[in-house]
Amino acid sequence: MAAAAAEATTDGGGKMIILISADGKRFEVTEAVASQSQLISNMIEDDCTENGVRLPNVDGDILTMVVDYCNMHAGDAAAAGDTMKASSTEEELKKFDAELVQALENPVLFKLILAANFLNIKSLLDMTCQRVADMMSGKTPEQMRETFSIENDFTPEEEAAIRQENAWAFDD
Amino acid sequence: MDVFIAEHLLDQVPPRSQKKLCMDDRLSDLPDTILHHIMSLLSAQEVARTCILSKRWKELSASAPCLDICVDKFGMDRVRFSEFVAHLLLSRAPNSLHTFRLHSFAIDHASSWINRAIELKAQVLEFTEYIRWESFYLDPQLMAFASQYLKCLKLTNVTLDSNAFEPLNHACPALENLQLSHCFLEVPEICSASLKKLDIMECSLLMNLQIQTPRLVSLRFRCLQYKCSSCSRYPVITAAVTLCDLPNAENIDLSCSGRQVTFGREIQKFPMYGKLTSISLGEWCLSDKISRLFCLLRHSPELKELTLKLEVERQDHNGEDEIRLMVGRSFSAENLKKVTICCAEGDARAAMLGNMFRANATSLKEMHIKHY
Repeated sequence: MAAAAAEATTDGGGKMIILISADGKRFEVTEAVASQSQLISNMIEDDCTENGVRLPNVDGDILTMVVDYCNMHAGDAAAAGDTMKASSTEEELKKFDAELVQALENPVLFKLILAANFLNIKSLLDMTCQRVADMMSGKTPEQMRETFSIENDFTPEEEAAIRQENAWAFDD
Repeated sequence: MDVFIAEHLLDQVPPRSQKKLCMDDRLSDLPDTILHHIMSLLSAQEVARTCILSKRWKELSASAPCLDICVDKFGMDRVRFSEFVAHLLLSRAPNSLHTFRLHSFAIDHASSWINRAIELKAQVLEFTEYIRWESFYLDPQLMAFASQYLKCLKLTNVTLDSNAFEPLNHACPALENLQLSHCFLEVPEICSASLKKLDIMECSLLMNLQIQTPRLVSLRFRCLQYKCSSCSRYPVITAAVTLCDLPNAENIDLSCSGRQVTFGREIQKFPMYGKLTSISLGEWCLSDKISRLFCLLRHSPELKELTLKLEVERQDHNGEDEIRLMVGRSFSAENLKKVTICCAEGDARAAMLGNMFRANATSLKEMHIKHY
């Protein structure tokens, strides 16, 4: 199943590689785009991407988002030396990022976090984790449990004891 | 193998909870490392309060690797703040602390809290005393910086005497990054063998300071601008800085004004700043007939970029006549490619110095004169 396209190059320069999601969807991206993932960057260095990279724990819909994110941010590194270019796209990137995380339902957000963690894309991991932190911030424990469906496995007595023991943390 | 399968890396992600199939409880399905990462983006109070959520969160809370404690979040209520910090530090699981950030306000206990964080093997330690309050004295009776783990230390608005500072030189073998901002330093010497990045920003030196850090890559030294010395609470302090050989330094910023920087040579054989590629200098380098500048150029054979920040209110002994006499001197700066001179409009010295660089730096490509 070695894809001929995997060896192809685009006019934009850079070798293309194929990413394959858990459900068999294939994504063709440049090495520059893909190497924002430290995991894939290491694979590229070790020369083991020629026949495509199968990512058995990332679903196609999540990988679509990851690839969109990486395509959008691929200019970052290239534009770092070119301040004019960087500043013109910075606004767009911020908007893109904000819209991406705001729109996500919790289960998708968590899957995206896992994918960012697995693929080791630091900026995407930071951004998605920040979204969860923002959702936790300012909430009472009860509200947090509700928002994130956290099962309270304490007995009422245990919970009361912990609350008393840690009264210093709840003293407002 | 037809397709490279990244399956061997799957063990990084723990299996989904087997007993519970509730599909929207995915936050708890995330591994501890990710939940800890999320917690590092919360305040210490928010982290502490997650202990009540569930048994797992209780563990996560006690072992959160990053604690960010800020007196602002307590409405500057120092009593409540003190009680919180004391309890929090007591409730810590062993060997879990990585980053400890403390923003305090006139609380003597802060010295002991810092000490506790060091005992808890913190690798990153940041302490800020409320900037509008007077400098916080780090009491060497209550704390010692000695640590095998400490990598990065940032202190703001503290007074450090030589006893408090000494362990940073000799008892912190992992220390790579030291940042001192708005501090009072009664420190004769910074000589850590491991330090790679040193920032001394807006600090007052209460005695002459010698910097001798063999592994240092980046040094920034920016000083207080005493625009109006009469309104300062403290007298103008003019202690000198001596920079010894820094064989690994690549970037040095000494653009502080009003501070005398001298160079102290240790090893005669080699250039003092053999790897230096970028430097920023202040008005002081023109004193003594531009001798400091010439000395630096002589000892920095790899220098590519030089920025010179001249003062608006110049000192008499650095006048145009003195400069004119000296700029005819020849020197070698083979690799110097870019020179930027920042000065007040109408400062004739900039053009003279510019010509001097043009005449001597054989590979000079860019020359900028910028006005404030």
